[in-house]
Amino acid sequence: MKDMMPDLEHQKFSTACSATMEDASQTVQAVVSELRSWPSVDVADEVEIVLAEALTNVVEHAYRDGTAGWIRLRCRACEDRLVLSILDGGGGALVKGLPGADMPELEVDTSNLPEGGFGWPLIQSLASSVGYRRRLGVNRLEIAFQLGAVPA
Amino acid sequence: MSLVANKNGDTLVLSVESTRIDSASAIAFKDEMFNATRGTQGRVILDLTKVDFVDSSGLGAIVASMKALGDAAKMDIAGLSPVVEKVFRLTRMDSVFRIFPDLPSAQSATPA
Repeated sequence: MKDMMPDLEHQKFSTACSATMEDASQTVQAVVSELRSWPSVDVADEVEIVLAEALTNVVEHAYRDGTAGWIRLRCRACEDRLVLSILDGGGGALVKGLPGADMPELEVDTSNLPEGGFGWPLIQSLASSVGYRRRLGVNRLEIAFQLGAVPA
Repeated sequence: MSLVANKNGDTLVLSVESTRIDSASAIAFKDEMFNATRGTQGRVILDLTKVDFVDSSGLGAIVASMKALGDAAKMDIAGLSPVVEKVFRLTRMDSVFRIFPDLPSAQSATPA
């Protein structure tokens, strides 16, 4: 993981990590620690959940062939929005559309309770908008959060 | 990942000593849970007091650990941080587990 480059005056920074679960976990912790020092940002908990899920998805799906991948992350706060941009050079797992926002069904026998499928619904329920595009072999996921809103 | 086990009568308390159960540590957590609960009967309390953060991989590992108990034991959860509580609430897993604010209140509760 590279050192973060904070620019407190403009409330933005960028960082990068390799596409491994360990590096992604370290990056989430570093980003959230940085955001907690931004006075206008009241969504650090939400960002922690969403960023963890988004980076896990990149490691699991974009780079599912096991190649040593890269992830770049940009974060900026302006007025009432915080925007995360997550870029990676993996496969286009999301080009067919973003997964749905419905949480997995829990009204089942205990032995059939779901152990996955919560990631995208968590992202969709905590972010105010999620956008995706793929250009020149680079995936770009842009996730916005409303600042100063009543938390979910 | 480290898990500390304390057996008290019919109740097995498993306290997670790590601060995160996320995609980097979920598999190790699940393995430790399977080992710690093998053959357990009665009640299991998963104490998350020291855990700051659980993501969906960690949540899946907790659910898998509970399912592995089968009918022999019941798992309750204690000590959710605000972020962890939010993950349980948004996924509605707070309707699957009995959740207590801290370990003492879980220990003094009547088993379901």
